[in-house]
Amino acid sequence: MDRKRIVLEVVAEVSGKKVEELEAASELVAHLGIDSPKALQLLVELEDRLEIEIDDSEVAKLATVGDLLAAVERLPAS
Amino acid sequence: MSRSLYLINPRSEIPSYFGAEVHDHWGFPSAQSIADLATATVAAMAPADWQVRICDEYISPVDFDAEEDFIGITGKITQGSRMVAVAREFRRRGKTVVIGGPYASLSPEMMRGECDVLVIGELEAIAEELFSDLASGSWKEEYVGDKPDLSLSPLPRWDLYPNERALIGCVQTSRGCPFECEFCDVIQYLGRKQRHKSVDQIVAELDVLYDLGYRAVFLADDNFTVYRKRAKEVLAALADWNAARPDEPVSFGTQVSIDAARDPEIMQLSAEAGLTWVFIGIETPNVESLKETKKRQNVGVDLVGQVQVFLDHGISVTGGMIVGFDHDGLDIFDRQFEFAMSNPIPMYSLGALVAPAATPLHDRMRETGRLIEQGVEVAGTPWDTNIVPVGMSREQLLEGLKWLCNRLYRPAEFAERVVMMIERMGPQRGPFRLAGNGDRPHRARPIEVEGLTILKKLIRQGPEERRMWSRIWKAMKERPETEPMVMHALFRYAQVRCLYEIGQFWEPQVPEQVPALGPPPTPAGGGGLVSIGG
Repeated sequence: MDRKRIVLEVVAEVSGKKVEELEAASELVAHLGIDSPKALQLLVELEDRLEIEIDDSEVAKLATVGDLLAAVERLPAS
Repeated sequence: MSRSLYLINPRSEIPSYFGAEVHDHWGFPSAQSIADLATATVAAMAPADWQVRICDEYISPVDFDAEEDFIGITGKITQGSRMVAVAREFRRRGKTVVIGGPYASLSPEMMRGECDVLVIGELEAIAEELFSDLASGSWKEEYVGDKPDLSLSPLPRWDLYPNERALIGCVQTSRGCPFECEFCDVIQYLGRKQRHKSVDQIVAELDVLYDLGYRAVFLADDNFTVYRKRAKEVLAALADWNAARPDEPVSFGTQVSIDAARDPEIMQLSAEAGLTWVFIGIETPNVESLKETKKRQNVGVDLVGQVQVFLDHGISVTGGMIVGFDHDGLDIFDRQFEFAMSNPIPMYSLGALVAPAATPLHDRMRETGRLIEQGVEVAGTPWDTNIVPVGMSREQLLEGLKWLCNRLYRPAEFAERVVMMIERMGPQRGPFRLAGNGDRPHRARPIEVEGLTILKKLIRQGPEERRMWSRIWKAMKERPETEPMVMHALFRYAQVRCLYEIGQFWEPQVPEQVPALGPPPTPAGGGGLVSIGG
């Protein structure tokens, strides 16, 4: 399964939305209701499933689903 | 004549259970847990034409090249050695150093030779005289403040404070506590007659903190609810104040004694005000030890049941626990462990009984030859004490305590208590009854986002921590209204790990049972003062 699909699945799982409802411009907080605990679960789950490590400095920049996809795409698998 | 003052809150060399040192310990910029009220309040007492600069050393280093006319240093007992080090360096550079605050007030003899001006007691009533003397260059070596009416306490100068690096704002609505716990130094400094700020003062302070972005505020009272009538008045005002901010209400935390749970009205008002967590000195399940230390408010009380009353009102509890009372035998470690695990309390500040200077316990230990002179006097330091216990040797006390701390903070045990809290927590009331369900998350402050990455690091400490989070997440999903208090507990847990790691106290492979500690000591009569290294 490609990374993009996994990211969308995890976002959907954590936010309680359907994958089809997610758009690149969807805001994690305002549109998807991803508060701090959900954001933590999102990051940890993504790192586990994709075997990546999202840099601390990236976390504050993640405002939309598109930001998350772009950040993950930039990372090599560990 | 216009003058200038550089006010410093020195950083304690040892982290505390309630600090935020985990930020820089784990590679993030330094942060303060609770914004420092002392420096902000003293700054507000300086005459209007004085230039004042604040340094909270928990956040940024001391500027030893400071050009201000006067250096002001405050601090609690935990900051004592750093207060001295900072004072010495400034005096070496020819600066005039003024020292005050709780430690200077409780142990003036420790500070007298370390400064040019010593301020003992509270500053409000003598501030005018002090600043006037400093401005004219005719200061005295010592000023003694009494216990002023808190209407004299000014609006703190939070505009001078690095608020962006503090997690929680701070308001002190009262000073003093009528109880007389033998080990408590607060009442020696602030007195047993509680004094109060007016509701107008409190609301004015909250307005400033809210405008600065704080959405969590610690009410830094020694015992917030002890005068019920007055506490109810303040709580009603806090509820009104929060009601005017429905989109982003503020959550409050404070210190109370367990007896507050016996007043249904105060519990209801606390919930409506937005009180979401309290610190309670539970100390021990050993009733004889509670009596010994004059913690009468905890005697004859179903402690577990009373804790549940707080949870019923949507309020999480943090507990203070102590081992090493005269009535504690070698079984106390097991008893404390069982008791702690039977409570829905994720966080305990655990430590050995310590006798701070100026307390009745300190006097008693000295009189009975059981005081370790020059020993640690840091109540928040779990791995040492300045007393010689009775029911066990000092080595047994410290070894048993180390086991207890590590056992209670093993990831699996911590997760168990968090899940217990989640399951037993009552519905959120007051300003948060609609929040916390994911519908209206507010955008976090940058320092809160940093907290998120700290928690990610915590979960990445190892497989046990990962399992801990999975268990907590699963339980929290079922009770989303508990999210803020769970996240708070997790951050505090990260701080505990930092505290134990820095103190080389952390033992991830802690055994299930208390290690064999050997027989208790045989009673010995008399004995002179004990001295470390002596």
